[in-house]
Amino acid sequence: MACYMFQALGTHGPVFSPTTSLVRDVILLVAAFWLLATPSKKSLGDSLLLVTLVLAVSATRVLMQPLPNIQPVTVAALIIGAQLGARRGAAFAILVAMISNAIIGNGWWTIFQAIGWASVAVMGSKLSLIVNGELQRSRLFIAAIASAFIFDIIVSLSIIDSSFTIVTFLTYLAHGIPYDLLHALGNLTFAVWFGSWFADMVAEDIIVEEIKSTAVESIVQQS
Amino acid sequence: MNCSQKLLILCATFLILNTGAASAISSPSESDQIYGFEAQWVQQFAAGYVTTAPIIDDATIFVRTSGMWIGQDRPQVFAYQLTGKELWNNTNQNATQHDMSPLKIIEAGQGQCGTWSKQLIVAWSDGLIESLEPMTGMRNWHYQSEVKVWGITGSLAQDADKLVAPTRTGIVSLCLADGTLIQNATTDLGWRNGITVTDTGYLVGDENGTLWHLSREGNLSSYPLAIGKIRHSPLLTNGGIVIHAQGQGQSTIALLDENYSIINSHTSGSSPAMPIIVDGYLVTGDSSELRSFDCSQNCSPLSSLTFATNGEMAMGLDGQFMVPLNTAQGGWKGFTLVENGLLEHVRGFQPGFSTYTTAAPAVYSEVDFDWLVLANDAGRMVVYWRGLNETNITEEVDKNLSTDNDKQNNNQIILLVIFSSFCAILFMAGKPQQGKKFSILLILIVAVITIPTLSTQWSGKVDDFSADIGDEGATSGVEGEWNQSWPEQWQDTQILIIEIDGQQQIMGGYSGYDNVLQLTTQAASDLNITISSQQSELGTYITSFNGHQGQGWEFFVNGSRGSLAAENVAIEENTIVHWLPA
Repeated sequence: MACYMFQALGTHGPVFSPTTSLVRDVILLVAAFWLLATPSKKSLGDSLLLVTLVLAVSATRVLMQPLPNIQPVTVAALIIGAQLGARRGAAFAILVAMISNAIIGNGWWTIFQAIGWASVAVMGSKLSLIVNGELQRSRLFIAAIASAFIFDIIVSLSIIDSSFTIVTFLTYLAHGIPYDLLHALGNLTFAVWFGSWFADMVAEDIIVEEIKSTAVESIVQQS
Repeated sequence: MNCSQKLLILCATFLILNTGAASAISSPSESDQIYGFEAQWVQQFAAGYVTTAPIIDDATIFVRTSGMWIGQDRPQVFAYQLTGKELWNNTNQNATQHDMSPLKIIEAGQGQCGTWSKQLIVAWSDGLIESLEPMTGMRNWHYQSEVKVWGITGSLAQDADKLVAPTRTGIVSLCLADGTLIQNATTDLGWRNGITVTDTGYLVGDENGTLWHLSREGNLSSYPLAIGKIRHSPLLTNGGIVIHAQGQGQSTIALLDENYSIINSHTSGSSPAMPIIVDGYLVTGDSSELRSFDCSQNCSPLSSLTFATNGEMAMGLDGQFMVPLNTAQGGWKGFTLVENGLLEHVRGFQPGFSTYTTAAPAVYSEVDFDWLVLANDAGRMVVYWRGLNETNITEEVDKNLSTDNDKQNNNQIILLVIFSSFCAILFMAGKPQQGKKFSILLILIVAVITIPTLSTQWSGKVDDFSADIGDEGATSGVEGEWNQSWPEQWQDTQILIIEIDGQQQIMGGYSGYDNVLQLTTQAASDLNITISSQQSELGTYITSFNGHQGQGWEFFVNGSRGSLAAENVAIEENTIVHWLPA
């Protein structure tokens, strides 16, 4: 069935028909909203902040597109994953991939970019980049460099077709190493320059109700 | 939300509001003044090339898109006010690819066959000829010409009360008042086979290299020239008729006498552009050079400049003619003819998001200002304006293209030295944190500048290594080495093979192409094979040849599978590129 859905499946990935593009977009949107539908209720401000982050980072990615493989989204996904959690980080990643690619160019690779940045966001949520509200800069720098390679490998999977051998794929990856290094260097630069600022910006406010709730819960537990 | 977050939202809103335009304007150069012109607005067409010059008439811009049709997109014609407001657009759902017949404005008039108002003539690749009301796009009349794969791709001409059109299979003349067929003559197949009106009738060339003459009385005569494909309107000069014909890997500039016999000819580079007459001199272009000739008697060559142009050339402003540069760098260059018809490069117009460019610019002058419209193969049109008091601009004349590059390199080195010194000062001033921050930025800038070049060399090493370990990504049936059946003159040149439906289409003898995409684009054009491609973040990918998408396409360079986008794979002089269905 997949063969009929895709107009062409080759080393450059399938070319989507309009219907398939619609299906892809619906799947990505459903995934993003499912991830955002957390049990805890979020304030309007939180939602507005996330929407703003998605749009601002998408716009930044579009503006920086002329620079080869400089990807501001990767570090943003890492920090948002660390600050807001894996679910919202992954939702952020999917939405940024969709929105920015709507301008830059959509295709088969959009799915892999969404998965790649979502993976980076999940990674950010698991690496204890924020401890007691403090950004662990050294960890962020290492994670920023590593996430470039992880993202690039995931996106490279989009190129695989039936004619690829493992050696062919490794050769393909080897060709891209200079640009992987550039991605890593770009990530490091973003982390050094904007990491702390962005982490503070994304940090959630602890509202009075949450403080009260935490205090009450601790009193109840003690009693 | 804290104050910082509110500030972020405010900044982001501003950023987003500007992204629509900014994404279209991917380089600030479009909004900068270029030689006194300021970018007024940009139109990024959704899909397709602009391979035919826009035209400006009565403060209205008309432009058509062509080619690269993926999905539901089809060729279109647009009309805009100079301010950027779209007046109308027409889509031809039946047009195929390469809608490149130049748009033509016919002024109101009357003749033996009737009276007509001002009209815009649009000829399509599905053979349809339309007369439209310029301000509304409403159709006055239409005529359907014969189609053989393509319909009309050449330029039309007016002969008194008749519109003369080069169809795919011949020549038709139609009454301008109502489109009634007056003459219909059959020739061999044509491609960009523009019409020239002469004292005795009409001239048109074809793909077999035959020049045809149709008299107004209906007598059709053919003159086989055997110098290659004729893909432009024959030029009339004092010395005779000029043809710049496209051969295999080269072209021929021929001067014909009144009996259509060749009296003088010159060999030139491959894939000729459409020649023009400037100040009485002939100017030709091709993939190798731009040349000027004195055709007052026998078309003797005067001068040449290294240049790659394959499309239209046209007069610009300030006495210059403008030539599109059909390389990845793209853009347009302005030239003049100085004393004795010698070519001189005056200036370059390089809008942002440069790419291969074949359409001539459009210019329009009013009392107080001039307009310049540039459109390229990426479907991007930029409209520039300049005021009358700015016409006396101090122009820094860039004598040749290499000087520009040298200056750019020098500027980069100077900036890097300044930046490095700044970093060192920060460290010495006891500000190591700031020093580190600026150092990492400096390293990034150096990497952005150098890695594209290093990457090419790296890819070569990777290919060598993969060849050593026996995995070249090779597939059976791939041509990776010299084939004895190929013409001897192709030896040690660039050769392209496209395998469509099991049939190999081969063209060789090329030289000087830097990457697989450049060679493929050129050779496919010479083979009359249409290409569809798609832009991605990783580069341009070919999605079909002659409409064959199949399961995708992949290429091999000297037998090794291409692992990058075609534009990112550098090729040497002795290279065989083989395209196969995936």
